[in-house]
Amino acid sequence: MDLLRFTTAGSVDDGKSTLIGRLLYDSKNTFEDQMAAVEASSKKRGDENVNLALLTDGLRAERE
Amino acid sequence: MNYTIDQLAQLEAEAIYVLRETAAQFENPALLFSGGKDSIVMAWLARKAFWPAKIPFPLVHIDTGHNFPETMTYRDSFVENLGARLIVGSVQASIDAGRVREETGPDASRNMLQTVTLLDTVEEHQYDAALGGGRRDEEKARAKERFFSARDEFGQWDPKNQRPELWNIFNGRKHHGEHFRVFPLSNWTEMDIWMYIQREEIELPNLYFSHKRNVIKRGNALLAECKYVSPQPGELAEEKVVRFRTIGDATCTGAVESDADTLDKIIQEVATARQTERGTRADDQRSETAMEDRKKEGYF
Amino acid sequence: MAYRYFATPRRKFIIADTPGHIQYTRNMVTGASTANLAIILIDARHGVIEQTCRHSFIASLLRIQHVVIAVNKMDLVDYSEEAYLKIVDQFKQFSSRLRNIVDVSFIPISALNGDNVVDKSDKMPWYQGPSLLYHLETVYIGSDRNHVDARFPVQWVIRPHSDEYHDFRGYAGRVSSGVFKPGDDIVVQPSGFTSKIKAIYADEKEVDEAFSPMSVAIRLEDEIDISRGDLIAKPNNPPESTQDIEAMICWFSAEAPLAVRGKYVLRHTTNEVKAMVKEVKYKMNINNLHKIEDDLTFQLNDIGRISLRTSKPIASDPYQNNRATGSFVLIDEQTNQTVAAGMIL
Repeated sequence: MDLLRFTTAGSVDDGKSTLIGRLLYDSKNTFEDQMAAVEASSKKRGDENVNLALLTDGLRAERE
Repeated sequence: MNYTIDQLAQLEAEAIYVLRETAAQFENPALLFSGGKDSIVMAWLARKAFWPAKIPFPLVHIDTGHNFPETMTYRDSFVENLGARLIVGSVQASIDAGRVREETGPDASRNMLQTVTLLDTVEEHQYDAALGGGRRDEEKARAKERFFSARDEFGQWDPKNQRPELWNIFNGRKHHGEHFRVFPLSNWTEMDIWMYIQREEIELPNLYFSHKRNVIKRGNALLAECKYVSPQPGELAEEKVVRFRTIGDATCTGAVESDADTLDKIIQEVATARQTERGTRADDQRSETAMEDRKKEGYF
Repeated sequence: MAYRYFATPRRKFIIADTPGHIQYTRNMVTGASTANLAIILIDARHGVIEQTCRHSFIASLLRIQHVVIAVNKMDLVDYSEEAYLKIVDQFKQFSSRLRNIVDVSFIPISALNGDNVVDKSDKMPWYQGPSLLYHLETVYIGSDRNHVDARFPVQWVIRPHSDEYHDFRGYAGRVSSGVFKPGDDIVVQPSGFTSKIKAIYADEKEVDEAFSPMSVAIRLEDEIDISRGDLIAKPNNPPESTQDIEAMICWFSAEAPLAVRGKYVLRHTTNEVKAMVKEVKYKMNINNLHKIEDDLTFQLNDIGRISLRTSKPIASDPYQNNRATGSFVLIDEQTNQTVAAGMIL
């Protein structure tokens, strides 16, 4: 198998995290426990749907 | 001509490059060896990187004293076959010396205590770089790691203040008293590790393969009944067919029910897994930021 | 910076996920330095904006050969072909000035709804191209590597001192570019010594050839003095050895600006030398690609052209021809921090 390294660029609201989340989710590269955590966080934030951007959620150190 | 190599060969070449870079940039490196599959692969790659010379640094095992006996047997024969030097840092010794206090209660684990022993061992032997088998796909704190990860004089990691790593130029310069953690397997995934083990025909501890064992269900984890883990009131030890997806200390490594008893079957299982690899690790389940918190303190 | 991993039956992918905020340029430069491809997102409602220009410039500067312009949020413009085509047109107009981007693809998507991300959308029948994932799976990168100029930076010298291998001396390293074979004539830079390749080892196996990105050990016919930092090349096509370097750099330090006449440690392949900043030529306004010649102070994220003088000659190629031997970093000797990324002109 072959390897492709890529980077994503966009300004803050261009939907970069959502795109990466969507790529991982629709290509079946996410796990049930990961998705459960994302669903819980989405609910806590009051998002209407499951927010796939949260799949790439960062560290606490960055949210502070 | 087709000058390409596949993804496993690319990852292998990258890891060997990082291992050689570590030997070249540091005076006194060491390879952290737990007896788990990732550190086994890392040590395997170290042998290749310096062949036909011996690995120019020792293997260091931070021993909680709560190991599966299979891990210890495997460790000793693996190290001997490699012709490597083994240094053991003992958590029991840290407890006896009053450096750390043992946790009590049914969930007691020495996992957290390892950090102190690890940092003490690094200091005692004056290691200026400790090679770890951590992979970025394991966990979100590890996803932020560098290949060459700087630690301050207290051994701490600051995720917000990391050196940028460009191309394959690594900056291992440091001040006296600081050390580095180096992660040659950064870009490997769980699947890459298994496929490589299969390609290279690396022998593993039999804990990774399906077997019968008495286990105790605790929270989401199936813990092996042993000297260090026994059923609490309301719990029951029952025999199940299980294997371990990751191997750490017996008190925090959960088994998964599985009949995968060959590498082919394990690879099939990993390919269709619906839970993350570290989902079976009680040490990560303590809180959402359990790994981040431990890593900042100087954990593996 | 975080790295993400996923795989499909066709390919394995590594994503360098670069967060925004203050260090954005620094992070994108870092992520771009190892990338084969960049996805640049454009909001379908806003079209090409300053940031698009900045992102494309960085992709071009770091020589990412494949770029995907993902026109996102198509759901918010009613999946309009007209809106999409306008953006494609805008982008093509200004990207003609970016010479390194050889392959640009445009894909209209909605990340939120999943249109054209993994699966082809039925909401944009006017779009005939592939989904983003299919493009990522199939884009041809086989000819991106330089297999012409043979370059092998020596990383480590293997000397076993054992009975079995008592006269073994292997030069270990990773092939930067080109192809090496047993029997090839070689020249060592900067010393200029020549010899012939006796054997090439990929761990204990002897191999017929070595090319990028393989890690190997090379044995030579002659005992010559070679150490870490030297470069093995071919006599008919050696790199240039020089102490005077012209480069584009990106400044990474928030603590201190680039010091003209300042001395830094320069790391290039496996080599490390001292370097002095002789001159700052210009800075770039990367939002509009104009040169700035009146304010030459490099702060965090600034990109521009400088001249350096190194303490010893280094064997390098233009970054344009060779990412591995054309790149370097500058390190501050006091703090040990990596303060700049450099691309040799």
